[in-house]
Amino acid sequence: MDLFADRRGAVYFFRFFVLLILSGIVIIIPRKNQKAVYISRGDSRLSLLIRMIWLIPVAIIFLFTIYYPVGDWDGMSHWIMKSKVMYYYQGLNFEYTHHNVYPILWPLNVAVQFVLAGGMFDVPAKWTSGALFLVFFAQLVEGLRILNITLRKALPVAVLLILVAFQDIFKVYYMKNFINANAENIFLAFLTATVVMLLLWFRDGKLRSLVLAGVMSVGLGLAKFEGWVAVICILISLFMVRNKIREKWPLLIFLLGILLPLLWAVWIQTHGFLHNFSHYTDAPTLRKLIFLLKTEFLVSVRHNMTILFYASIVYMLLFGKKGPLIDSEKFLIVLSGLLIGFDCFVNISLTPEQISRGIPEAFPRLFLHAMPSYFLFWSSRCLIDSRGQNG
Amino acid sequence: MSLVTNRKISRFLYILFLAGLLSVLFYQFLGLFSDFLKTSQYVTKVGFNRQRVIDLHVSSVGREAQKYLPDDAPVQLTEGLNINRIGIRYRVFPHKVVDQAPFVIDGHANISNSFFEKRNLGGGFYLYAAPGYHFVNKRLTTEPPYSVQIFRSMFFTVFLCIFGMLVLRKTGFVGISWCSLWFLSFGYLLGFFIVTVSVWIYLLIGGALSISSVFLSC
Repeated sequence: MDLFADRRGAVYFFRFFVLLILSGIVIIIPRKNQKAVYISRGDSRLSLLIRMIWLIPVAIIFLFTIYYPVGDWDGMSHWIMKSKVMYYYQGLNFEYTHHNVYPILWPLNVAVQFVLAGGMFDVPAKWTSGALFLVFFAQLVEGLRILNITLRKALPVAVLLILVAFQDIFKVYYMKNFINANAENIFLAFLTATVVMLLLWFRDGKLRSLVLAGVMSVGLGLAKFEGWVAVICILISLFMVRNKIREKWPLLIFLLGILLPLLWAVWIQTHGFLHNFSHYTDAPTLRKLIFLLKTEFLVSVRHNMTILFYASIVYMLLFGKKGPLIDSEKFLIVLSGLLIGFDCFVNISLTPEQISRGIPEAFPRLFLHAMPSYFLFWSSRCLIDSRGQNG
Repeated sequence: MSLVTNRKISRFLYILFLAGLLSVLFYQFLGLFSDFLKTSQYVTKVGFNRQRVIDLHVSSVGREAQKYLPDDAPVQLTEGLNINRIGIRYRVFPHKVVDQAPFVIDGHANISNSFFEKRNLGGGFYLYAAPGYHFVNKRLTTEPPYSVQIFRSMFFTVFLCIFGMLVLRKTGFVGISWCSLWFLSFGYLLGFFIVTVSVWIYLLIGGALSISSVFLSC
């Protein structure tokens, strides 16, 4: 019996939506000067209707997420398994679980819902995963609006990103992101919320935005191990862009995002739950590095999200606005670069067999972590003209 | 002319770019017709019945085994179950999967000892009990209806949303509509963070995870 057998119907269904959105982008964007073709400014009902149509794929991904039971490897293996264990033992007992060094913000929230529901059911986990997906999408759209991109452009472009990340149109049976019960959705939600708050801070300079960005970064650090890395990347990007920040104390909140996961690791170690740290068992070598990069490149040219990434770079070079980068753009591109770099090199300590077997799944998933910030950067360069106006 | 900016670009590059994009689209449209046929077959097979979706996608072996295992009895899985191993381990909890146990789940007919008691778990899987150990016949706790579970989760989500939005208001985010999608979603995330971290701290200082502790932490 194959647990993942026959998801193909849903996959086929979604390929149609991917194509719909791609077609929409091609048809709509070039006609910027023909307002009547897409939205008549005076016709708010039509514009609302079109916005609702854009949201249909998002709603369908959400429905898929809450409808499917927990069935993914990471969800069953340790994330929701930890929720069950915490619920059953009514506390922080990790004798039966593995990857215990990972922070537990996600499984603990599900465990709390198990308590409220009075049993270990899949629905709270999947519902929360779906809610976090919607949060991620809403934050993404808000990020675009902070960058002065109108909803008319922000919605279709955000939906396009969601769809290409959701399902790889080059592989019929491959539908992984967003609908699973692993920690990807909580990671993306907290990462995007942090970035959005920082963009707001770049724009208005208000202290509260920086403080809330710091709070979100703590959530990011407590979501999963990659979140801890992302907080470091955010801090590096922030200092590279603004090395003189007037109010320094909010940065201490960001430091909590780095410190608390480390303290959690110490707690796990001292309580004897550190059964294994990670998958990494093999020393890095130059030969393996070359093999890793070659494998990742081959994966990237066969995955629609990375293909879109390459195409978007070409598009940006050809059609994007020229001129100096503003602070928010500098921040976004440095952050994207660091996260993509992490994705490329983090698996250097796997064995060659593990690289061959694991990279086709791991590389696109980690690549998705860099996409929100890169996508916001791209939109800022390509969807508004050199005068800072929408097209 | 650029698609969205006013910068002039080479017509050749513009056509090249569009040709690349259209070729990707064309590649996708090739498989579209058969996709529609297969989608209709899938819908015919599964319909909109959630139990059928579960049966199709998730191993029920672990849950079936729970019916026959004595309380707290550990269970052993034979080698080679792969992804099913993870699924069974997840579903059979609170029974632990260990290396050696008197109760064994096998999906490959590895066990041919006639002294073993045997129960059919469906999907080609069997549960065996070693000599001297016996199965029980338990009635598992009935899962609440799907709509009830969704309602409970939705209630919790709304609570986190309102809690987070109130905190946002306190931090100076006034004048934003309560129905703003950004405000709702950011409020949810903030509520999620504050409530869960509070429970986490409560557990770290020795508290037990129970309904009272959840409300106490909030």
